[in-house]
Amino acid sequence: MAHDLASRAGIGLRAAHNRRLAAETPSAGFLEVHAENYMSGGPQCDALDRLRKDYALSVHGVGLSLGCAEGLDERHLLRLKGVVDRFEPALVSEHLAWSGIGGTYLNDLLPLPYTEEALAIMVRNVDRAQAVLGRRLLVENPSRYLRFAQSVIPEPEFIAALVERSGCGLLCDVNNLFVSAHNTGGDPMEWLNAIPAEAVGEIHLAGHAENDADGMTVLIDDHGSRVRPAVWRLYEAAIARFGRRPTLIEWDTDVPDLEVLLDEAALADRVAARAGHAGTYADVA
Amino acid sequence: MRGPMPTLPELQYGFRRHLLEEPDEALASAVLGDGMTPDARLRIYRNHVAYSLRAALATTFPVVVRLVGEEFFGGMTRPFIARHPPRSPCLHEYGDQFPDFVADFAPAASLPYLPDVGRLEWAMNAAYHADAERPLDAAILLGLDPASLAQIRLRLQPAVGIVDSAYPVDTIWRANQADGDGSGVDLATGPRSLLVWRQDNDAVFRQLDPGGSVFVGGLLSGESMAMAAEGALAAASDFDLAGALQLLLGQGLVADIAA
Repeated sequence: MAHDLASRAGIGLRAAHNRRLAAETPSAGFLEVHAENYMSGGPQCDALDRLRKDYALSVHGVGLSLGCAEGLDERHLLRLKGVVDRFEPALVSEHLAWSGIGGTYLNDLLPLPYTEEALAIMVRNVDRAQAVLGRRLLVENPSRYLRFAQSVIPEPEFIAALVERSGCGLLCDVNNLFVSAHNTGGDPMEWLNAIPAEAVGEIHLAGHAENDADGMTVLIDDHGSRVRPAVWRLYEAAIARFGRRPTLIEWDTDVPDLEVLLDEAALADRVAARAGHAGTYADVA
Repeated sequence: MRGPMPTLPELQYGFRRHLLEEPDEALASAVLGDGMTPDARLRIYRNHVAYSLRAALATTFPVVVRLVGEEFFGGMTRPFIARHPPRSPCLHEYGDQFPDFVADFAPAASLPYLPDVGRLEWAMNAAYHADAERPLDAAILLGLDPASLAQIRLRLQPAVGIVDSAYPVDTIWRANQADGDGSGVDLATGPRSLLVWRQDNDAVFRQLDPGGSVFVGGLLSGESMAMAAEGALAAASDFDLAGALQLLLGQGLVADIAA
């Protein structure tokens, strides 16, 4: 039987930790896996078959390219469905981004212009994905390094319209929100207030790096370190606004010991508990 | 002055060009600088794509990286990625064309065994990610009369592959693992035919004799037992059919009798 999801912090599953998680089953809200790593079979699928007996799962896709103007890659969508059907995760998520065109996969979460044209394409692709998967998809806000001149819809309004027209849920990545606001402007607090709180089904937290580009500091969403203090503050504001949500500690490069991940997850739970008592977003702000 | 705004397909094809080929002026003119140049902002994506795809190839071909060094490897992957970008979001499936590309890459010509080392690493990568099926019970084969046995076709585990090389790529591979120092390889000790498969959580390989190689190759291409064995005997008169079957059945590499 698939485990239900508590509104507690989980960790990303890395192959290096499979053995200890299976042997020691330390407490964690859930395990999140990248869907693409489980599409071919192999030992990692066997390991996940075992781990799902002890943990709730979240399947996070990185390659569906929901913003692709040419529609979805149906073969990839069916492979995603295969993963979802096999492991019965509590959550399934993808991105507000595109990553391939013309049969080429570019391995990045590339930005969309926020236009009516792009919104209609996102809605059509999310509709298709949800129809094939037979369930609601959570769509994650991207980390952005640029704005397009043609964008006319503010990001949170674009997201709210996507939710309304497709019925999808949201994965609110607080680190992405912070990184994007630094890199391309905008007020993250206003952003949190403008998206539909009830649609948020999951939150992501991660570390980011600071790079110099053209003499300016650019924040890079590299998932390679502990969550930064400013992102913790934004997380607290997000919980105050949305209520508690399943929260993931994402750590994909220079993956640390399991203890460090569990420690960050426990910290997320403490911050969320505190935010839950803090009252409304207005009080926090 | 800005031109007309691109449609989303135009923008995405321009972005692909920018990431894989050369800076795309039309794309740059669609991007706001916001205190930087549009090119500097686009470079963040360009660098990430180049870095992450090179890292994916380095994960699949670690011995090739060790043999040529990081810098030379980067010099090979840059044109490879531009010419053969991934077709699927599953990056462990990316790189099947890399060994052939390496074979045609003139600066690597002084390492003639390099493409075959890549082929071995690719076969191991494929074996690692292949589905494992329940092995066929050897008793089922033993229960068949010789005439039926000759006519059946054996379906091997999806992980099974063969790598043929004029060079001792198994020795090269072993000498260039984390605990090896790269020495002790005598290139004159080739050729090799290596059987690759998955054993529990690891891709493994062992050497086949010339007859065994033809036999397993025949089975992989769908030949009947009799055809594969005839081919093997034609290639090597000392071919040991019982030994070859024992290896396949002993390692659980026969998945089924094909219809």
